[in-house]
Amino acid sequence: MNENTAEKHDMGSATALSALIDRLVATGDPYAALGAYARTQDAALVDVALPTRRQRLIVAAAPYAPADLLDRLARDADAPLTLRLAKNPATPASALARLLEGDPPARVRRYIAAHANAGELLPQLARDTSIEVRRAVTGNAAATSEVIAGLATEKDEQIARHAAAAPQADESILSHLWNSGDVWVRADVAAHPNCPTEILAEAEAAEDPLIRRKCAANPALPDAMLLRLLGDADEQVRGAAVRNSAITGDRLDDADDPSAKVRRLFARRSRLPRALIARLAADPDDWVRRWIARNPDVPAALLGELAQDPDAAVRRSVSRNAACPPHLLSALATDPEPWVRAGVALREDAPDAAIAVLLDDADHDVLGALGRNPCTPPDRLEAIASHPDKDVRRAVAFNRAAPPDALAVLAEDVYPLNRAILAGRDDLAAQLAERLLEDPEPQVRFAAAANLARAAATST
Amino acid sequence: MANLIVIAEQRDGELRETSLESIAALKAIKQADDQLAVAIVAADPQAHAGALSVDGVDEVIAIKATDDFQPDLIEAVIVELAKERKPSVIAVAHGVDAWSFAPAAAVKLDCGLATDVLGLKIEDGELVATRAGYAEKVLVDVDFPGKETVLLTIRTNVFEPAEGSGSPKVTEMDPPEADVATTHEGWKPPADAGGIDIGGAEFILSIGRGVGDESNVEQYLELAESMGATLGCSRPIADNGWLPKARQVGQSGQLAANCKLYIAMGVSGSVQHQWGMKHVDTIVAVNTDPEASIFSIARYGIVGDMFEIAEELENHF
Repeated sequence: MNENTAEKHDMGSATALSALIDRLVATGDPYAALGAYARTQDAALVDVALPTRRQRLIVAAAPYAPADLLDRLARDADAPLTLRLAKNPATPASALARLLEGDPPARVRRYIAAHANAGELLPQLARDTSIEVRRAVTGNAAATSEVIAGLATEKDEQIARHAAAAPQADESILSHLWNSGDVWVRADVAAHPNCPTEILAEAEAAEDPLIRRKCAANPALPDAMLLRLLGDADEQVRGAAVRNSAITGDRLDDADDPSAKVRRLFARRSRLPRALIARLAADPDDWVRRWIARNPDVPAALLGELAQDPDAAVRRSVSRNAACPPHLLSALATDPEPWVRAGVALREDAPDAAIAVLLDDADHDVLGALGRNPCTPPDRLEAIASHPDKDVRRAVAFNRAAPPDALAVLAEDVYPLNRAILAGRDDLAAQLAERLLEDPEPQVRFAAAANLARAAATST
Repeated sequence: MANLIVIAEQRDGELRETSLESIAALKAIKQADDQLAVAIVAADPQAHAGALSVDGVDEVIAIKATDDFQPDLIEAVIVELAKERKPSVIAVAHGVDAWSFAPAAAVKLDCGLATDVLGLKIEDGELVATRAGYAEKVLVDVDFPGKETVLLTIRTNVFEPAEGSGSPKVTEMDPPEADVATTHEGWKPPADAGGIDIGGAEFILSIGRGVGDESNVEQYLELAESMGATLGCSRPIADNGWLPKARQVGQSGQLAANCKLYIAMGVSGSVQHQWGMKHVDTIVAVNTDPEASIFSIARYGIVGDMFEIAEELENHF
């Protein structure tokens, strides 16, 4: 693209955007204006999006509201607006700071202290007079080790537990909590990745199985300790050790646990040795076979055997296994159990022959899966978009390969949610977005306006 | 003495248990000298007289017409019975059937109307009906000043079905003239749900978007099975094809009609989902977001990671 062409495109884009904004201002639809504002941040839309106190309250509580609009609302927020903004996860740090400057009540300060965007405010809130606020600070994952250290010395069980589980808690904090906390605090310390080695050694040998179990779950546990805990007398401790990602599957070679619950956990692990996989595939426990049938490390020949398992849930697992070869998918496409066939219908790598077999299926789960599958022929997608069941029809709205005719059918769908999902598609044709901008449902107009604004802003 | 009338429900010739629940509701307010009658419209109404002859019923009114559901006919029956017998209360089961005739009948009779009633009492000699308001957040007591007749639709699964044998008289009534504007196309049985019964389950463990990925769904199926629960889900899970649509709870899904305990894990609690479960007595919500809507209707709330909670539960079942 040369410079002149780019300039023309920019002008065209600006014109389209300007026309859309003019239109939304003229119609005065607050939901459409809100949708477009999220993409354009055009000041002309603010008064349309926030025309009344009721609408300002709605936006202040909406997690989909643009951050700078929430920041604007925080500038002159009264008590109800302040509370809603403090609770809204989308409220940015600048707005939270503004709210805090207004000296809000403890309830609001507690919400700010727990807010994911409150990181820079936490040192100040850690000195708050309210214990509830300080508890919320220790429970905030953004709290630094300095903030945690300052609070961990308080004699409060909740603060101690929060501190023991805080991601930034360092060795000295954890040592203090191990020595001063109750069994629950000590258990959380034993599970913490920053837990000092000497404490882990104590935890590994602890009499209380809760502490050993939490220790076995520690992702930073040294191999030797983990291997010892794999042989623990307590089933729950062994289970926690098997779940622990610190040990790779190939280290679990000799496992032949008497507990079916533990063997199920083995079957969920990746990189298991072949012999162990074979043993688990022949396990008498249905759930062990269900789990191993989903395991992508299972060789094709063994998957073939599992595909003939008398338990339909095992066959469903095979149909969802990423390593399932095409010939097995074709075989499972004719399975008597609809949920197994639906598993194949969802596969984008299913052979054409398998999809062809499923096209005449009447089961709603199979049709819904075909509706989502980009490999389903366009004419069939159009038919699914007209299905009597609204849940089946909706599947096509999620399909990235849905043909324009099928999408046009969905634009007229009587079920509002189906139109709302359609309106949120990135590739929605401008003509359909324009139509949905007049929709009676606010969430549809919101999504359609956002769609049009994005297209206008990025048109090239 | 007051007359109380229940309009019984049948579907395809089978008496519905909701009829016995409506009888139980009116029995709860029946005074010693009141008369409780049950009207049944069917192709063979006498065939249902035995099942309706429960303790407390004084009369069964048999109206021979059709087993097809014709809302205009039921509406005409209510109007006719109200005019003839001047009942103080007429009760029908709350549901899609009643929605199509109860409000219209109430308008024609200019009588009192309360829908989705879940409690009844007599205060100072006057009927007071209790129903939910503001999206089930409050209980509302409704009275009916100046109304001789009150039409109630009774929420199902609230009143224990009436039982015990009675010996009511059985009378016949000709079906009234009705301007039937609907055509009964036949009953459509629910699609085969592969043995999944969200509507009948008393204990449901439900998962939502918080489950994150299809590979995580299986552990909740396992957990539900070990806990003796039926696994349900919110719409996005079924939309993704991770669980059958028969497990979806909500407006676009199933109603957890008989559920007593509902554990919602990673479910935000959209309006659509709440439609299917907010009536449940005991709701336990697990969500990392303390502001998730689900907490507004939960009796017990856990702000925490659904996987950690699931792991703890796995250790106990």
